[in-house]
Amino acid sequence: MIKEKVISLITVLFINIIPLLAQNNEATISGFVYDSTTRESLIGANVSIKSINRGANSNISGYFVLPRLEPGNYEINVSYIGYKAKTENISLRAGANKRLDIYLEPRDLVGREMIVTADSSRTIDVLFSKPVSKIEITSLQISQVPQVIEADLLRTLQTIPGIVPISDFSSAIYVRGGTPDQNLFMVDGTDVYNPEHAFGLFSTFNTDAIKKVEVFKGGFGSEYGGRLSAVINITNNDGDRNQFKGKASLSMLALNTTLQTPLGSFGSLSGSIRRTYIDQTLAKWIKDVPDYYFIDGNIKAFFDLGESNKLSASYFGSKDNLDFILDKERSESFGFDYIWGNQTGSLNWKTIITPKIFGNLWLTYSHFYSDFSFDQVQFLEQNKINDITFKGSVEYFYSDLLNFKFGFEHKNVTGGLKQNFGGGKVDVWRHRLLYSLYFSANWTPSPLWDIDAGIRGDYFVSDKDFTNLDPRLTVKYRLTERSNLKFSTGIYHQYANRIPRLFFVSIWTTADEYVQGSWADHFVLGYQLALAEKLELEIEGYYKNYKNIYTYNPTFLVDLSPEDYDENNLPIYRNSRGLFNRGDGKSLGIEVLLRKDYGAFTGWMGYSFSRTEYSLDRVNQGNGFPPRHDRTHAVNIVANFDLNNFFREMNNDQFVKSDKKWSLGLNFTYFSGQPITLPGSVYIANNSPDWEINKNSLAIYPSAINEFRLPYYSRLDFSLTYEIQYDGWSLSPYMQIFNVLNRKNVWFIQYKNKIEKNTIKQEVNNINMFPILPSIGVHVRF
Amino acid sequence: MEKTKNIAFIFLILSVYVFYSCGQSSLEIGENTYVPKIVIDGYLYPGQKVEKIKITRNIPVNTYPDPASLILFNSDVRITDLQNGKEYKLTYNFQKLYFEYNGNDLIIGYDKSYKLSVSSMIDGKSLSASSTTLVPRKGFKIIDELSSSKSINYRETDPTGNEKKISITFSPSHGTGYYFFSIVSLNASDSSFIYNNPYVQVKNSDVGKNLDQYRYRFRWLQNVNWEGTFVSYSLEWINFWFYGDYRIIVYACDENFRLYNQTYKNVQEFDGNFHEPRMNINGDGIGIFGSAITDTLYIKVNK
Repeated sequence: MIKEKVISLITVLFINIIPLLAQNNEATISGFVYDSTTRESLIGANVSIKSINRGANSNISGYFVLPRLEPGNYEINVSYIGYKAKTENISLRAGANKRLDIYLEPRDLVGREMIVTADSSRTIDVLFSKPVSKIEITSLQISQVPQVIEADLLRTLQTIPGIVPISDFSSAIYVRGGTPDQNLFMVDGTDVYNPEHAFGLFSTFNTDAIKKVEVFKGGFGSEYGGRLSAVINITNNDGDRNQFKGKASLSMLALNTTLQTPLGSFGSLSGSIRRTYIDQTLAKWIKDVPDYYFIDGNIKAFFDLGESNKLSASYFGSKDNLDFILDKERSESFGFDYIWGNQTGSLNWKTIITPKIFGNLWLTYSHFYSDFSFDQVQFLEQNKINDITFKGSVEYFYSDLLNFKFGFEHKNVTGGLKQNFGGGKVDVWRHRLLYSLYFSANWTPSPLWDIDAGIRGDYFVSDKDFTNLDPRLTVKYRLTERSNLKFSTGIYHQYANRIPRLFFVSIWTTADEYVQGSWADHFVLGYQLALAEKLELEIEGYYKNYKNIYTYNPTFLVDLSPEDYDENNLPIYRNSRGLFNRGDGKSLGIEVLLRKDYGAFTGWMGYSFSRTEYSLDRVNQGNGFPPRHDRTHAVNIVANFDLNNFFREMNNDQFVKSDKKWSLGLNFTYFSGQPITLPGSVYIANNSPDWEINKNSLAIYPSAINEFRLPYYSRLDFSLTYEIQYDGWSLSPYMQIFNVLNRKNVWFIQYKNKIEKNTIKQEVNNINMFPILPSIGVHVRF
Repeated sequence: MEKTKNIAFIFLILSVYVFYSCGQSSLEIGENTYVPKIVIDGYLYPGQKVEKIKITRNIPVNTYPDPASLILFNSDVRITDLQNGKEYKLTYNFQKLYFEYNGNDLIIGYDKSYKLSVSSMIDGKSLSASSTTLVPRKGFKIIDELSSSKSINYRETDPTGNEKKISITFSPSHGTGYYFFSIVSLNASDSSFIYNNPYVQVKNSDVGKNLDQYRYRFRWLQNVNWEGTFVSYSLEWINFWFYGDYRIIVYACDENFRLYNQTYKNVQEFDGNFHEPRMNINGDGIGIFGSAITDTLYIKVNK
């Protein structure tokens, strides 16, 4: 019975597909879509021939193909949000391969917001072309969200439904119940392992260098692998191809410069550098401020190698340096040195093999390191990861109804951790290989349907080898003229886990004989509605299952086991046994996003309901419990106002151009309370049997794990920017206030216990998150 | 009309912003987090009688009773020699405030298992708890001739300029990987405090307030090679805050001692959340019923 059904299905597929394959002697139009002012490629532009109801979108390289066209005359319409639509008339002969590079002019600019009129892409078409659970964010949008001192990509992502933070003190993101180590971060195609500055307060991504950020919150396609929850794919600026441009920013934290320049007619160069300066200012004047700085920078070069080949080279480096001395005025004092950083590099070659076959090759290198030295207690630590990856993909645009993508990835990862702590050593060095192949087919059987089916195969070489096949499927359907329905599902595997630590940067370990590979399956159902022109509503429901997830074991000390001993018979640890608690879990939720990207009033409102439950070995007696990042309800409202034109837009009046502009930004966040384990009781206990009961002889025994909830979290942030433009220059002083109403949100509870005058006394203090934090700064563009 | 509606909508949103974004949240801990437990604090030592078994109760957070009122002296406490199954009832010593076995027919042996059973009433509720310990095997001993001399100058350097450390070398017990070092200053006072230490500046007035914190110090070693003939370990100077005499007791610990000692106080994570300690106690009990072999070293730290 099942066999007959499979045969019928294959037959139906071939009846539909074979006639397509049989077509020949037809013409093709292909090319790139560019921004006419910078000549940067535009991702996701719509290219269509309305007369025959055919169309295509430009891919991540800006390349599009309209294959298998009958000879004749066509009117090609090209549109992209925020750009003037363009029409080209083309005459095609039989068998012709017509190259058509299209330069779109940005819409009339008022300040830096773009006004949209009806001749751009239709909102519902843009929504339909978007993959399930994908959010795109630009550098401008990141910089408009008021934040802690500096604009920050990860903190901006924390305002999107389905993405939550753990606290004000961390830029880490938890996507749909997943943990931060389940997110794949890529910059220009290169994996980044620990994307954090200042112990997690800020991310390493420099907002000014970013061209575009794609965030896949789940249900992503077969080209992405190695993580269970989400993909954050960051593309940095290629560089302006037409003119020299620059930007400098000064905030209370850092000085930042970004420059872009054309390289003749064949390329461009873009670079950014950012450095904090408190070590050169406050730390010199105030003895309690530690000597700390971070610096990061990136440089990217882009070259046209003829019409069919493009090459880009990208480098990113970051370094954090903390030289801590407890008492600077003493000749000897408690102190330590701590340095950590990332370096990534990538070479990307894009080639048009034939007009219908587009190829992409990457060679990437990612290096993370940290060095800690605390001589007075003889504690030393070195942590390293090196990842060299070679990967490629080929897209075959067989027809506008059917195209294929094939790709491969080979990772060669080495890494290690060395610790010397007096009572033993950790000496771990690992070499891992990952081989991945993927294939996907995108089929548009009718204008109403779009089906993308793919499969990814992984072979991970460790102490123990892992082989997995991950099927992925996305189905999109145009429900009405103004609404779409989407569904996505897939299986995802992960072979790396991160151990978060207090103060120290995280350590990555891989699947091996003690830690199995993790996997998850995703089911996502989405509904999209174009409420009005450029006002979009998205509702998504999801369900995720996790197996073999690993969380840091807080009592790992008692579970470690050595593999070797030193000359004093002290242990040397070379394995990951005991570091994690294995478990399973599930997440489900619903998210609502109302978004307006263009006009004098922009922003988004999001609501999410979610439930996550983990069951971990050795925790809560094996019973399920909500993890700390579980937030049942989350509301985010991000609003930016061009105050010069806001009321004009409300009255549908024509916008006015002005050399002086006021902008107001608001960010409202509400989260229902996080789960928390409270102290259940106090008891008398001593570290050593021979000690007398003393002031410190009290211990806390916890309640059941995470059975209580903190009060709700809420915050309002505010920013005000004044922009003056003069002779091609722009000066924008700004003020922003984080937590403007100074709400005291509880972070955790601190207890002080002591025995005094034969009485146990306990002080219970609520430790709060950030209070009101005003900051000022200035941006200069030229 | 449209404009008025829009303005009203914006003001409504702003009002919600303001309403939710000010004020102060706080978490009160009530009685609902409390579950009564029998707290066991007892250790067995080979060659010795059973004594110093302390049985108390836990109390809710935010209550301030007299510590003496926590003792469960009416408890039924029994110890079972698992080699022969014989059970011994312990009695409460009101002078010494602990349970003990006074008979001469129970002397703790090396490599033997014992079970402690406790039944008690707390807040009208009948509770019971039990735990079993396996006493470490014979073999542990400090090797005096390979350990530091009895007297050492604070942060003394050797002829090459390297700082000398107080080192302890011992022969391990077969099967025992965890060794606990209890370092107690016998002359702790604000006058003997080492003010010119390389770590922190401590005011004279603060020494008295935190005297116990500086007086009682500990280190531990785990997973040592118990098949080796000796284990050598150096104690950092950060464990010595006073000039004068020190008593260093080294415990060769059983598994219960190891689990309890490494986890009972380490229950709050860096984000403030709590997790469970690891204790080998069944039923309604928490704490420690462990066993150890001990040896002691006396050291004098000179100026």
